[in-house]
Order: sequence, then C-alpha cells, then structure tokens
Amino acid sequence: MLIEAMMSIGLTGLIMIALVSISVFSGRSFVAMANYVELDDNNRIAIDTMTRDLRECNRVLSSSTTSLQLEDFDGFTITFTFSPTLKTLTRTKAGSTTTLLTGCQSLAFTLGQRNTIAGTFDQFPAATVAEAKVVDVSWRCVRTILGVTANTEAVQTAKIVIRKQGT
Amino acid sequence: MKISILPRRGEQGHVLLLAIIITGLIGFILVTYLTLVQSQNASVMRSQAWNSAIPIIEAGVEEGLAHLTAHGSTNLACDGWTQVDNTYQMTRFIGENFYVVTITNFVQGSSNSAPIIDSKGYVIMPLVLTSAAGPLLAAVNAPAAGVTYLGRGVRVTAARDVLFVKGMVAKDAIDLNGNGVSTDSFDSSNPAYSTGGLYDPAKAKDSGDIAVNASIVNSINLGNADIHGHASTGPNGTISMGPSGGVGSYAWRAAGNDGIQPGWSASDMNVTFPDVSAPFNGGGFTPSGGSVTNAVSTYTTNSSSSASTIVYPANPPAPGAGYVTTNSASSTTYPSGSPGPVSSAITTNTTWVNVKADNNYPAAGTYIPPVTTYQVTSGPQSGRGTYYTYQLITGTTTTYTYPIFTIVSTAVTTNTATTVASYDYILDDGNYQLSSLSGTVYVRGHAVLYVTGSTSVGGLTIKPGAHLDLYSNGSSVGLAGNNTANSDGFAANFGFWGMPNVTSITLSGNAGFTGTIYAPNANFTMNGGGNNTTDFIGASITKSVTMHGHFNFHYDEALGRVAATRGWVVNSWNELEPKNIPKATVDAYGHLVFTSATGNN
Repeated sequence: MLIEAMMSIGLTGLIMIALVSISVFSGRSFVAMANYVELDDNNRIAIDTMTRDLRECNRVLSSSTTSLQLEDFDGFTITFTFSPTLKTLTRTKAGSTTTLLTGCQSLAFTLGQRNTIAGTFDQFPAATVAEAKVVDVSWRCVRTILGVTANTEAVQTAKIVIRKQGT
Repeated sequence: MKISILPRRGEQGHVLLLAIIITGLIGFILVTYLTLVQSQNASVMRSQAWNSAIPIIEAGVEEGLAHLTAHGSTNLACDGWTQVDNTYQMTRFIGENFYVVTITNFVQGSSNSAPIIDSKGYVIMPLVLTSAAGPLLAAVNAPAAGVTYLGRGVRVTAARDVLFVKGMVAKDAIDLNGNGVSTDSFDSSNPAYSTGGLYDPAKAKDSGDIAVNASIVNSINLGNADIHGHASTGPNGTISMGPSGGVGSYAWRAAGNDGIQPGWSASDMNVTFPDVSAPFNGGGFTPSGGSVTNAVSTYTTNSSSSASTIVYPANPPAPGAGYVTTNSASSTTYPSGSPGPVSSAITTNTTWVNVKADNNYPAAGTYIPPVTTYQVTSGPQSGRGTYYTYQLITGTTTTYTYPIFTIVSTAVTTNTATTVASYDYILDDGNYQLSSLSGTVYVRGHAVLYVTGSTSVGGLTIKPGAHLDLYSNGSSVGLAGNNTANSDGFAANFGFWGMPNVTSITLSGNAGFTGTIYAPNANFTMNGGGNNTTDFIGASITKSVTMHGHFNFHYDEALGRVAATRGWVVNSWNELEPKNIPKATVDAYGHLVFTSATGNN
C-alpha cells in the first residue's frame, strides 16, 4: 500500500509539474505574442504618421536629440517629442497632442541632405536644419512580462525624404 | 464472496466533465491565440501592401512630371494620355499592380500654371493573392478575376523648375580673382527694386547668390570680392576668401563685417545640369547683314529767361516744358470761360433810415431787424413825434469766386539725331542657322540663332521688345565689344545656350552683358581690365567661372520667375483621404472595375 501511495504521489507530482510548466510557458508566450501585436501596431501607426508628416511638410524647423519640429504644408508646426523619462514619443500639432509610442527606450533623429554620398545609399549629413531634406529616425520600444523586459522589443528605423522641392 | 462497490451516483462523470472543461479551456485559449496570430499576420500583410503602394504612386507622380516636361508646351493629350475636359489621364501597370495618374489645373502656355497631379496606386492584397491567385498570376500583367486591390493616393502640386534661381552657378568652381568684384541683385519687374526695369544701385538687393555644385575644397575662391547674397557649395565643399572679402547682406557688410555672415552659406548644393540640345533640325535661315537707321530724339529745355505767364484757358505748353500754379479770383460778374469750379456768395445791401411813426411801420422784407423806436419831444412842432430807426434793404450783390491757372512755361527744343549703323547679321522673327559667327548682330524680332561652329560676337544689339536665343556648338565662344547686350537692358530678352562642345566662353574688352548664359561644359572667363567697372546683368550657369578685374555682377531676380525651366518638380505632396480613392476590383471578365470608396481601402 505504501509503495502504491508513493507511486501515485510521485506520478501526480510529475503530472502537476508538467501542467504548471506548460501553463506558465503558454501564458508567457501568449503575453509575449500580445505584446508583439500591440508593439507592432503602435510602431506601424507611428511610422506611418511620421512618414506622412515628413513627406508632406515644407521644411524642418528645428531638431535636437529628443525632438523634431516641422513646418507642415498648411503652415502649422508639428512637433515630435521623445521623453526619455516617460519613455514616450508624442506628436503635437495645433495644440493637440497624441502619444505615438510608449515604452520607448531610445529614439534618435538624424538629418541629412538630399545629396547621396558617392558609392553608397547614404546621404550627406545636414549641417543646419535649412539643409535638411532627409530625416533618419530610429527607435527601440520594449514591453515587459511580469515586470521583466524579456525578449519583447521592436526596433524601427526609417529614412524619410521631404518631398517638397519647389522654392 | 465478491463484494462489488459501486460509485455513488453523485460521483459519476466527474472525470469526464473535468476533462471536457479543461479541453474546452485549452481549446478556447488556442483559438484565441491563433486568432491573434492570424490578425497579426493579416495586419502585417496589409501593412506591406500599404507601404508597397508608395513606389507605385511615386511612379505615377514621376510619369506625370515627365509628361508635363515633355509635352507641357504643346499638348498633353498624347503618348497614350487621354483627355476628358481639362483632365489628362494615364493608367499603367507595373507587374500586377498599377497606377492611375491624372493632371488637372493645367493651363497651356501659362507661366503661372500650377498643375495638380493625382496619382492613385493600386496593389494586390497579399492575402487575396495567396488565396485566390494561381501560380501563373505573377507571370502575367493582366489582372485576374476576383482580385481585390488596395488603393492609396497622393496629390502633388507641380511647380516649374526654373533654371536661373541663383545669380552665378558653376558645376566645378568659382574664382573671383580680381579687384572691385562684387555681386548683388535687383528685380527688373518690380519698380521698387529697379528703375524702368533697369538696375539701379540705389535700389539694389542682396540676392546676388553664387553657388558651386562640386564637393571640393575651396570650390569657391572669393578673393576680396563683395558678395551681397548667399554662397553655396556641394557637400564638404569649402569657401576661401581674402581678408576683405565678404558674403552677406548689404546691411551686414555696411556694418563693416568681413567673412561670411551666419546663415548666408550652405553646403547642400545639389543640381543637375542637363546638356543643351540643338534648337531645331534644319530649316534655319542664313541671316544677312545690312544697315539699320535709328532716329533718336532729344529734348532741350531752356528755363532761364524765356518763362512766360499765360492765363488759363489758353493752350498749355507741352508736357514737361512748364508748370502750373493755381490762384483764386473774385468778381461780381460771372467769369465766362472759366474752367471752374465757380462758387457764388450773395450780399444784401442796406442803408440806415429814420422815419416818423406817422408813416406806416416798415413793410416786412424791406428791412433788417431790429427796428428801434424813439421819441422827439422838443424842437419844432413838426419835428416832434415817434421815429423808427432801421436798416432799409436797398438791393443785393452776387460775388463769384473762381480759380485762375497760371502756367509758367519754358522753351523746349527738340533735336532729332539720326544714326545709321551697319551690322553683319540682322535677325527678324524666325530660326536662323550659321556654321560660324563672327561680327555684329542686330535683333529686331523674336529670333533663334543656331551656330554650329565657332562663335565670336563683336557686338549685339537687341531692339526693345525683341528677343534672341543664341545656341552655339563651337568650342570657344567670345563675347567682346562695348555693346554685347540688349539695348533695353532686360536680361530675359537674351539667352546664350552652350551645347556640349562649348568649353570656353570669354567676356572681354570692357563688354557689358545683359542676358543669361547656360553652358554647363564651359569655363566662363570675365576679363574686365582697365578702370571701367563692367557690369554683368542677368545670370549664368557654367562649368566654372573666373572673374578678373573690375566686374559687378547683378542678378535679375525676375529671371527666377519668367526665364527658362528644365521641367517640373514637386511643390507640395499630400496623401489623399481613403474616401477619395475608388475601390478597384477585377470582374469575372478580367476587367478592372472602379467603385466609389466609402471608407478605408
């Protein structure tokens, strides 16, 4: 009887461990997948919005490590602001602010000319905003699982050309 | 004895129920998971299609711009483009995808036209492609039945890409190696910045920009030149200058600053310089020379002693020969012959009277109140009694006031001087062609002169209102003499076009120049010399520029609006709302069907 009881307890324990492991693993995978979906959607919308704004704008007004100001085609100013503290990227136009990204670990704007460096696909860097015709933007966003920054991250980079050419 | 222990009724099916619940739970989680994955997959697929529409759209935009450039001066309804009213349209497939591009708001021949290009790109939905298309679909260009497209569109406003938006432009280098060299600008179409359309130093502006496309060190050597404008080089290009040289605004330079004013230089020059083609193939006339008689009238005014006064309305002197003063006069008779305006005032005449009250009280209207009554009680009996004293109205007088114009005129003498000048070539309206050009040219129409060989212009006179486009394919071009310009001074009236063989252009002999030079393969040298300050008015685009001696370069900003263009560029770029993009599908017969969109594509 004792042997039978010990066998039963052992088997039950093994089954329980297997079930818990499967549950935990499935749960983490599920959360990770949900995170990826949410990250992907946010990134896509953010890059779509930024791409459209940059293509349509008249010119770059100012740029820093955490912000980019554009003169929109309608004369309004569009400001993209990255907050390293809040880890957000916001877009502000005509007093209306929209949060494009959350959980943003890093973000960088780089200005370039329209001129391409010979033999490469890169552009010459713009010394001033007046020379800026290409904006290179890249960011890295993460999500956590149970408070841990696991493997859920999205890195987005794009090089966008201001389409307006006329004087 | 066998004892059978049956489970209690209430415990039956527990394991089965638990298994069903757990299975259901796991199934639900699995379905949710798979749905999430499927949604994500669809979202990514759609995003790919959404983004892949942009190259298709841009292809449409480029075709629209290219079509405007190629046929904008003639007729847009060609090369497969169809016209409905004022809309020109083209549909073109790129693999399985396609774009529909339209041009509207285009006014043929108008320099102010701002065409609108709508380019709508359609790409096959990847999910649909995967599910509905066969393996052959990717190999053919025709749309397959049942295919649904994702549509996206852009509206572009095009603007002319004007050639002469800067004063002095070179592909490789600019060397302003002389004393008294300067640049500035004016605007021949704006009286505030020109006098009679001509350069006026008192109205000069500071847009005498110079630019070099090259990315080489010291691609601009300013020496001690005074650049009232901006200086640009290609990326990594640099500017060198002497101790007194300067680039900046008039105000900044006038404040005693040397060097480069902050914000007045850039290193992002990026321009293509297309070659010049022959203006026509055959059929050009050979011009001949001759004499041209010019009658020039001059007016001499003598204002020292012959001034005279004439009372209006005598005939006034000729305009410019006198001046008019206005005075005022009055009379009681109406001023016949006065040009007016005449004003009048009526005065009532009165006299004081004393009459005895034995008489009647003065009748109304015959006096001006008040009437004073007094008594006389002494003296002769006949004189005693009551008296009235008042102002008796005796009549009225009308006074007329009117202006008198006094004209002080001076004697004017008109002298007409007639000159006869001989020219080697006289050009009227039309196309002309020469194998070589050497001598003087007179232009009195709208002419195009194509010189296939050496070109040496000894003097060029363009009659006011006339225009010359001079094309040359000779290796060396000389512009010399004191009259290498159009006589009314509008740079837009003379254009020199250097074809690929033109490698050298020299402007010398104190020659003044008014016009434009476009010769992207030519080294342009301006040899001033002497003490004269020779002016270049207009704009130039060449391979290099070397400026010796006293040269003042005046860029005419009007050239940036009215002169030659090299095509069309994007002036604004805006995405169309999805509701403005018709939905595209392929019907059972393989035809494209467009339906109005009501929401997102």
